[in-house]
Amino acid sequence: MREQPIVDVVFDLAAADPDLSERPARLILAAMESDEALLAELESASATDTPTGPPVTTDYVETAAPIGAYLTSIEVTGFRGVGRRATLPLTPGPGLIIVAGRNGSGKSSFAEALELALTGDSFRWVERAAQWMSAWRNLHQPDPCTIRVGLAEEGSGPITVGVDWTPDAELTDCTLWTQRSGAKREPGISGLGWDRALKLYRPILSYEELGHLLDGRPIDLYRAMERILGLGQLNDAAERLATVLKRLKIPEAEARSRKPHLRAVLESVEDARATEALRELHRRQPDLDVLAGIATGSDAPAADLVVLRDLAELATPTADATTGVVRELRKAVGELAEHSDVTLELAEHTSALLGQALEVHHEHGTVPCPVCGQGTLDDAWRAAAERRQAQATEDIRALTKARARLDRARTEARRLIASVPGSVRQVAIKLDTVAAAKTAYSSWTTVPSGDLAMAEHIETCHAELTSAFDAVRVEAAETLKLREDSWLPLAQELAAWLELKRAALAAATDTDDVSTASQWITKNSGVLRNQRLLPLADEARRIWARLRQESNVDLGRITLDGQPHHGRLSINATVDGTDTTALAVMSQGELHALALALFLPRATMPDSPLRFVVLDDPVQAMDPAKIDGFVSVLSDLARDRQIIVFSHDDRLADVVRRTTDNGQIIEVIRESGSAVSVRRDRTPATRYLEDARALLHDHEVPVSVIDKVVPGICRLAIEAAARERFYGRRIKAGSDRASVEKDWSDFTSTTMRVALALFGDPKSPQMNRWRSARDWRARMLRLATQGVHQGGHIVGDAVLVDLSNMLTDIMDAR
Amino acid sequence: MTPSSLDLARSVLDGRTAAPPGCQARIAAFLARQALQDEVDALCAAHDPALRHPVTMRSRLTVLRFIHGAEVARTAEVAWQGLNEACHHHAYELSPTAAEIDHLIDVVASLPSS
Repeated sequence: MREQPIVDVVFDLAAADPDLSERPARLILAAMESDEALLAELESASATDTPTGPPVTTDYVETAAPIGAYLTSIEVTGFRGVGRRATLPLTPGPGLIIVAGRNGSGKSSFAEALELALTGDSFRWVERAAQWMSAWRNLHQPDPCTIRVGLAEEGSGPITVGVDWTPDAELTDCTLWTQRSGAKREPGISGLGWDRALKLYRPILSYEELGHLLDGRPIDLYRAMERILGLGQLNDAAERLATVLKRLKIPEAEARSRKPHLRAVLESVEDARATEALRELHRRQPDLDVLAGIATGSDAPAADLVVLRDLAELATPTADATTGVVRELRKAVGELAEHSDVTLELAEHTSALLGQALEVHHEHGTVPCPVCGQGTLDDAWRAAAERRQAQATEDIRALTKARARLDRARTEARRLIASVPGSVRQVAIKLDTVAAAKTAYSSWTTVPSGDLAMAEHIETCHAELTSAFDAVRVEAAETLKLREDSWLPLAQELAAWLELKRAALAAATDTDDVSTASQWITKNSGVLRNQRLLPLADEARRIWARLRQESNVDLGRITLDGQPHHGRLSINATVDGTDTTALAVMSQGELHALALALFLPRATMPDSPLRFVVLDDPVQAMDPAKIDGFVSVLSDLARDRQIIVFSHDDRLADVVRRTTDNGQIIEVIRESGSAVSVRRDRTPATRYLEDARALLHDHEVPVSVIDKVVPGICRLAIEAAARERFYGRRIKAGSDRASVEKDWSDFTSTTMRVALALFGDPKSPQMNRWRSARDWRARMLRLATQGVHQGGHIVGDAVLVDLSNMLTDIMDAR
Repeated sequence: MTPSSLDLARSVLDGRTAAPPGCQARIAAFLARQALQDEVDALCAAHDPALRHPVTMRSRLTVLRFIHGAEVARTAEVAWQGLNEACHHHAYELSPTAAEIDHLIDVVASLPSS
């Protein structure tokens, strides 16, 4: 039962929910992935983006089963019941291995050594610390004390995990290391990348631990289940979304909490900007741009600020300029006064008259004066007249010039007076110096008539005006500075608030989406959890159905109830058709069987990289019928797992011996001085050898039957031996089991399979030499191939000797 | 298949056929075991020549594998092991329970009819 990654399940559920829109759905999936993915999703896509369709979750797309590891051996020295070095060889690859031995034979020492090496603890050790701690070293040979666990990982080959203790070290003072083939030793075991898997799938389980699996707190079982089901990812997503939501809500919450304070400080100052800001803040939806303009002063400043800035730059004419104007005016007046004896009209008329008279003289010579009639216009007169006319012209020119000068001087004076800005008259701001300035300005602009009076006025008023305006300028500048100084922190506060508000506004969509996503997970997690649990629950029920045999307890619904932090695994059952909870009605033996039913699916989850499951004495207190069921369950699991069962119960080995094809039995025997020896008692190949022996020794069986059946048994035995060797070799070398299986099933002839096992090549040229090197090899191969179809002439024990030799040749070849 | 033996085993087990108190399961086991032997004989009879007593059950079950395949042989083996144990006295094992025998009867019944 390879299960769908939880993220796909969530995706399907989310896609099928018409109430869930695109963005929250994407957020949920991103949150399941990682913090980074969630942030990226928040940053990259706003709600207005066009939907991009289902996200490609490449991380979870796995078509092949994950890389797996098998056990190849456990070697123990000076530890627990094992004195001198003892090695438990384990055939890597799928199969069922029963490690049988009486209580105290040392078999559990291997199981404990394995548990210690791989998980760093042993349930027995944790639970019964005192006893265990005092007796973990072997009494007969306490030193050296070492553990070596051999593993084969698909795709990478052999791995050794070692544990070493110095002579006086405590149990926990060990040195743990791992070593991949051809690489250096690495301290610890984390380098193998199995930390999580070992915790999650618990491939090593003892009888005691099975008992505690259901005795423990409901929440522990619940959590364990959740982790296995990949629901941790869902919980992580919920937590990530909650964290992000909290963060997204910070600006809005902060803005809200700071608003009263902001208002209070704005109200406390006298500043038109504050008033404007407050007016904006009172609105339901304050215009943030307006507020920003107020804070930074980038918009049109408030009226009083304009006035103050204006006043701070109030200008008056300089003393030099004023003096110049006044002096010029006076000079112009003086110059004009010098020509006061001249009457311009008379001079002009005189000049014109003289001109005409001179013309008369010029035309007519000496004539009596036509004007007075007394004088004579002669040459003497002409000379005098020409002088007089020149004088008159000169007078006219001088006078005109003086007049123009005065005009200019007067204009300059007026311009000077007007150059002083009158803005001071309209100032409404309370400034101490403005009144004096107004008076000064008023005086300044009240110009008396008369040029000299004006000059006098300018001269007198300038000083007053200057000092009054200077005072205003200074005061305005000071007031302005004061204003800015007190406004600055306010502006900063307003700006900070605005920033929060803007962040809140920007996060509004995100907040809504994340909130929707978060609520969706809460709403659907119950459904998801149980949908997720379903295959595992079904598997557990299926196993239970085979284990229960004579129990009248029928396993019902298995569900995860409650919320993540106080949930429980509830196991319903019916007893003779009556509903109840399983744990209440089960006997101790049944509880063990139930624990196995729950544990085995977990330990054999397809995603687990640990392709082995180790059970230490799981069948105590199990009746014979349950053992049948148990063995058939194990035998099924062993089709694609390496199942290793340590058992002191003969019945288990017996059932395996008689009813399974893929089971092998290893016997552990402990002799005096903690000398532990290991004997391969039964392999699938030897099982067939025994079958053949039993048949041949049963003299009642007709020869015709023997001749027909025994060649087939020999073929099965040879192929079983070849298969074991081939799988072991290839898996140890790091091949993945899929390719091993393919190579094996691609060649169906017995000879090819033997060649494959021995030389890694079904058509190996070495095969002929190997075949003829020992006469039984040729005989056996012929019997196993042609004999199966044509029947063989079986000669009792000779065949058994041949087969036994043949099996040894295949399995023990170098 | 001899339905009579197996049916009789069932009826002893559920009390329809009288049996001494405390012996129901054991008697049912004997009957079922007999039924199984008959059935395996019948299955082996498909092979020529038939393998009747005194050929051992072990031999017959081995041959059965070659005639009817591993699954049938395994089923018969499981039933045989269970019933055989129920039909012998064991110092260290308790008497078989009714439910256990009931299950074994089902196993025998699940064998293909010859």
